[in-house]
Amino acid sequence: MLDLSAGTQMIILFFVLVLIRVPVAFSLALSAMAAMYVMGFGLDMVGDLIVSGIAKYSLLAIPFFILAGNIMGITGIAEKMINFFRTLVGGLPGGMGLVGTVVCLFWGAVSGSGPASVAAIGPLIIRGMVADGYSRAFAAGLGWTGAALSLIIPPSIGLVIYGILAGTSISDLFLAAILPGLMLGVLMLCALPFAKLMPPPTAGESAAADTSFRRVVERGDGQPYAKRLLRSFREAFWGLLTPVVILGGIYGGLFTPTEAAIVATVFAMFVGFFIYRTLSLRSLFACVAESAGSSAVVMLVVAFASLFGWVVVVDGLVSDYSDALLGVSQSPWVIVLMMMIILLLAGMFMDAITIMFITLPIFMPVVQQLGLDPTWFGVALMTALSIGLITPPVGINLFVAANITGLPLGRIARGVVPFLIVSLIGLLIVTYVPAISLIAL
Amino acid sequence: MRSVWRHLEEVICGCVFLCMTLLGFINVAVRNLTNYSLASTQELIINGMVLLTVFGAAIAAKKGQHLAVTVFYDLVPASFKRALVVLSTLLIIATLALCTLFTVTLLSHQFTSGVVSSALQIPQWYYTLIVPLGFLMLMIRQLELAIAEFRRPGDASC
Amino acid sequence: QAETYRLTHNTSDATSWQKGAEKFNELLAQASDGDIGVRIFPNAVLSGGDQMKQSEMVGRGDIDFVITSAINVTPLIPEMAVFSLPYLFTDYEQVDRAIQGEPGDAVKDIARDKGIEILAWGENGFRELTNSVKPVSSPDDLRGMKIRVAGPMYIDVFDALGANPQQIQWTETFSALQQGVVDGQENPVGSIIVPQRLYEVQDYLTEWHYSYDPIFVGVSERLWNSWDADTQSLVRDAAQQAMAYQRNLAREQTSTGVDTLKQNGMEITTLDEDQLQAFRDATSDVYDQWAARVGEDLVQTFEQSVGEADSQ
Ligand code: NA
Ligand code: NA
Repeated sequence: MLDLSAGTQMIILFFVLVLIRVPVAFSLALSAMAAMYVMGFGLDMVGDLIVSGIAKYSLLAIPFFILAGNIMGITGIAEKMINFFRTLVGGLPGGMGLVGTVVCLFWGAVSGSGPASVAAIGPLIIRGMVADGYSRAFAAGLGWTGAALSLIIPPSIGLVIYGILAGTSISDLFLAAILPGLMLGVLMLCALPFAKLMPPPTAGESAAADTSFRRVVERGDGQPYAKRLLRSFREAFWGLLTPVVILGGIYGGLFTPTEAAIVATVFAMFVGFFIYRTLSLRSLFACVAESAGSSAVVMLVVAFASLFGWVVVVDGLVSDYSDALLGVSQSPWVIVLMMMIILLLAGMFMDAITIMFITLPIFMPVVQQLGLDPTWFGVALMTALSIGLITPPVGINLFVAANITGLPLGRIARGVVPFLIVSLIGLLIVTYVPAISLIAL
Repeated sequence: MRSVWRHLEEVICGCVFLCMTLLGFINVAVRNLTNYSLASTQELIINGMVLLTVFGAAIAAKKGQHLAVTVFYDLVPASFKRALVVLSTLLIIATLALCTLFTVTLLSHQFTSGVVSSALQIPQWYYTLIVPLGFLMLMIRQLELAIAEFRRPGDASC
Repeated sequence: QAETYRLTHNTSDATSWQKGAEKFNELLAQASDGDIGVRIFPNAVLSGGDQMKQSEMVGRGDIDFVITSAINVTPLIPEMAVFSLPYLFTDYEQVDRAIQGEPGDAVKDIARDKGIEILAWGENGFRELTNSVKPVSSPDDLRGMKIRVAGPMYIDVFDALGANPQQIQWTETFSALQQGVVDGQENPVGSIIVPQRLYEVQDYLTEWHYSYDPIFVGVSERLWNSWDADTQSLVRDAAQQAMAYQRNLAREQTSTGVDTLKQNGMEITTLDEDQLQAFRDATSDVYDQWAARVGEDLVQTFEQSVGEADSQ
């Protein structure tokens, strides 16, 4: 047997467990406990570490942003927003592709979680695009890539967690991420011409999508433009107000980024109950319970990742791996590129939050050593991780996509390719032009 | 009775999550609108989140939603799938049993030492009790899921 | 054969706590001819980042050594709140006399029952007030001000002063001060306000010395009892020298720290005896209330020592 440290053995065991389909959370816990045993620690500590891994105030952003996103999803804010943007720019070249991208950008400023956005806006955007003659796979590609923007554009659960782990100001991170998020949206538009390379939907598919799309968003098509625009704006007004409430509240000194998630939840309930009247106590309760389940999926990983991270730190793996990274090259830019590639590779298999818990203890000392700006690094890292949401074989957004459209994973993956290419270009820009992030500070 | 048992976690999590939202919002409102402070209630929200994590995990387990990598599982034939279900379930149950054991140990330590919570100064074990109970619940749901999957490998989780 | 123990502390690796821990390791190695050493884990990593849990874990013997401040141990040892009672101490002379003397020993006895042997006392410092609104020289100035505080006793103190105390996680405090979610905070100058660059978001400092926070080196009782008398005295000596070194360093950092704050544009308010008395009067009820929780006997031991320091 090779002479491997307990920490390295733990990492190997983790991958074996994950491969035989033990859920990520339990794989983290079991491999970490095994390593602690090998290292001669009293396993009594496990209880403390699990509890202190979850009982952190700043982690509250996770359940609350997921809840806020889900409530907004069922209030109908999304439909009204799509209708407004469709009226506004739907007639321009690109049609629903353009509308879809703009909606994704805007929804990114409303929702803090990628997968929650997928559920809220994905199906509608796809139906609209297919009705407009886009290939189903391409439409799915745009929807899921666009939903991943929610992780970059503030508010963002990912940036909150990065802020905690890296000890950087969360509101600074939010500010720094705005421009890169918008730029990624513009880059997505550049991918729209590639739609011509994919087979258009059949007339039947298109008509079916058109019917189901119009059932939810058509509001007075055929009336004069100005009248339709005003009307759709009035309907979408409360949804459009959400980012103003969230970001205005944070930067106006009314609440912290974590509290913003709570305020967003209450705001969504208010709109659902009193403005749109689409929410009932019953549907709210069901949504809350459902959101508890989906946030717990993330929180359980966070809880056990803290155990895993503990071993990585205590075993000294952090300094081993950090030193190895620093030894790769004299140039900080090569090392940063290495880190981005690691994040992209990890993103193929794991979700964004798990990856942060595993890699940041190793990356942050490197960032510090190289004298790089942690706020900019956070934005670049989040861009890489958002790409992970759409890359096969494991992309959460992709899975949800396959589930909703009924298309095989392979075909959707093909539809994602153009967006993957532009996203990678975006990542390179965010990484090598820090000014785009830092100019806002 | 049966339906209460089926939806126990949903009811618990739904109520707690709503209360956390309300309490958090009142806290923000009170800070900005009055000269009064509810600072200590933050502790309740945080421990509510601990409850959401363990009992919410049981909700997710019922639907097979816990993040897992299925690349390898999807490739193998049904009989092999059954073997993987048994193996992974044994490992999951072992993990949860250990976690329950260690959190019960923590609970008994906290009970003995009389350590109190830092804000509201109530016995810390009140909060800690939530964790092993949640793990037990999660263990039961994982077992139920595994039985369903073993009967029909491949499609039980959807 | 060389033995390396694990030492956990709350703060980053750039603080006087860390320097004290490094000194401790150095002195241990010297005195034991390299037989004993400690590996230092900053930022409470051994307890998963939870500063309160460290002492619990040392008490059970899961971690060997801890350097932590009294405030962080109060959930486990409520009597530790005695040090930080509002306006108990006014200067270093009173502090040294009480903590290095009999009253400090009384606290050691209590900690021993919880499984922690306190080897030596160091210093986090007097906690001072900063804010971004206006100079504070009377309780009236504080009225309605939103202040981020560190624990339940401080909530009561600021409530009594008419302020609006808030609990905000330390990681969010800097941005909360920046955005104006809260107006101010209270912490020691040398160990927090200067190194955490709070002067970038705060304009006014009041040196009101309202509460004192000591730190200590503790070892798990289980490990302590496993040593022979020679080893015990070797370890205790090393800890005491290391903490003497840390205390001097912390005091130096505090006095140079105030200058740093001035250079960075902060307005410093110092209080005369009458002004201090106004704060003392406003917080005397909280003092009594918390003295009752801590235990009147222990508080009296401290008060007596403070009185003796004054009479000399
Ligand atoms: Na977002
Ligand atoms: Na992926």
